[in-house]
Amino acid sequence: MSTSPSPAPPQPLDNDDLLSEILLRLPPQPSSLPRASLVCTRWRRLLSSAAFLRRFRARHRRPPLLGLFKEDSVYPIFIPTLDSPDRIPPARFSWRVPGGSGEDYHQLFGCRHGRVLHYSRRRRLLMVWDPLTGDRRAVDIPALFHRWDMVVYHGSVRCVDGDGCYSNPFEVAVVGTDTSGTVAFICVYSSKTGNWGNVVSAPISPGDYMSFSSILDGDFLYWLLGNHGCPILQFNLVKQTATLVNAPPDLRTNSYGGFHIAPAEDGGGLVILAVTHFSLNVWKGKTNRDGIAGWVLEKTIELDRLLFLGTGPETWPPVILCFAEEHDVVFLSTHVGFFMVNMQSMQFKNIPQILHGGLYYPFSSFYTKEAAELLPPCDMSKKPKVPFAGALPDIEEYGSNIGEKLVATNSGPRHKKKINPKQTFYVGSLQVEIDPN
Amino acid sequence: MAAAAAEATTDGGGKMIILISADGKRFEVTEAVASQSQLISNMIEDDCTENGVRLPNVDGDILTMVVDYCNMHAGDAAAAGDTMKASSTEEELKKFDAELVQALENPVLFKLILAANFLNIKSLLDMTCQRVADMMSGKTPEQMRETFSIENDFTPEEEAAIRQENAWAFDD
Repeated sequence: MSTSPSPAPPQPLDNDDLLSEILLRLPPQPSSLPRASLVCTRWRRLLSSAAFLRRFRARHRRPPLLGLFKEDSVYPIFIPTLDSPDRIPPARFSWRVPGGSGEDYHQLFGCRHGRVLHYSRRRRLLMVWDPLTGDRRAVDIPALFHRWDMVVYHGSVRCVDGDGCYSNPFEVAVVGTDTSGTVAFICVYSSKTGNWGNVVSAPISPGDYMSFSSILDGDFLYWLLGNHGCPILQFNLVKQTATLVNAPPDLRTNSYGGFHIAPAEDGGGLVILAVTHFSLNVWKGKTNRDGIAGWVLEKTIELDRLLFLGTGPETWPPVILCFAEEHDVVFLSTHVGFFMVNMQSMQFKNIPQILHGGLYYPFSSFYTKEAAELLPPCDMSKKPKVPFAGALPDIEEYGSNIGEKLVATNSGPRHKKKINPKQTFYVGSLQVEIDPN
Repeated sequence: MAAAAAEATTDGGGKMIILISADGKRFEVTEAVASQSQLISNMIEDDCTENGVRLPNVDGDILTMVVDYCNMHAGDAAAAGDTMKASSTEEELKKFDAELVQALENPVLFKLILAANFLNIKSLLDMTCQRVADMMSGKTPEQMRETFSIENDFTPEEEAAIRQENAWAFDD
């Protein structure tokens, strides 16, 4: 404890309202609030209040880009991209996926608004994970995709209110097809209702497959399909309509450095980023009343010059790893290392980690104390009593005691086949065993 | 009383208002300039500024800064009055703002925050609060306590436990 403070303390800091006004203006970087919280108990109390954190998120709007999640067969691996003291260690966001030791096929579908969407292919179970709070919500896939001839290709999560607050409702969209491969089926789950909506379909060409990322632009979700023409599947989350958009011609042939869809910088529409040799081409979708009607090559960025790559026999063209839609940042793998490039400012940063191979998803989130406090042992009395977000239908019983091992009984007949006895899932700090009998 | 001297006058078409600080200093400003304070704007609407506006919470030296700030920022609204000030470019305003807050010692900056809050001048409150937040940014908890003369009322155990929660955030 320190000794008595020098002269009368400055007044604005004694007034909770004014102190809030000041603290709201701290930068959104993850070390900001933990540091200020350690100044004194009053600051800590104020910085932990839900009202303050709501205002903090609202004021800054865009959560900082904390790093990448890499898909892995055992668990998603976090790779921090910020510098100290904002560099969150990978262990802080670790989650050992149940059964994640090679006996299941795990997929990361991506991150958005502070949440990570994970899919267990064998269990046919989606998990919406908030790495900050550790909160996990299991969501069973729509009934249609339980059919033997159906396959889930990809999924996408978003916070309905868009501010990434862990307590806000979320939506999950999944897209898949049947064995004919001629129709894409899309269905959206709402945590508000706990139900899946109607299945929406769009014809696709046999052989189309999904790229492993989705882009959200306003109320539109986009998936790039992998066939020769590289059409883009466009889904309107509000109107629940799906359409196919043609990509620029010869995109696939010419872009051996990979291509990626992204929201346009000016906030309207879509662009395609495609690497040819050492150039990053930005194609902008031209829209009319019906949507994207064509593409214009908006600009070309010479990556070899920008990143001082050098070209020669020992070099290879950069490859796009992923794109952070909330930050307009593209992640590139090059022969001299890994880079993140801001598409607006053209500022770039070298990433010291090795990112070879695999699928990467940028992760942005506010690092707020209220969220961190929900780590175990958390006070479940402040949270919804039902740990699942409407997932795993027909679960009859839930307990409410903190830390108690809960047994949820599932009497749904189709689950008897889909879920092995006594599978264990982790929801926040709770361990839940599901007994199909 | 100040009533006679504070009688509203006109100057170049703009109605004038007298502001009186806690220590009795008087400032004559146009309505357009004074209206940047929501408090005074409301008083003008309620027609109760004729005898001057007494501001018992604001010292003369602070009110000088506030009036300077409002004169600079009166913008188009003051065009009818002080045309020279009204023509300040955005760049000039930025420079003026930066110089206004950056040179201030903490006690003065804090008084300016209290005045901006009392007078309800949103942009000045925003700018001064941002200045304090900028001073906090990048500092360790110890440095923040020192800068703002705040007593650490955590027990050593509490402090250690909180630090441990996010130990990475305290790396320098």
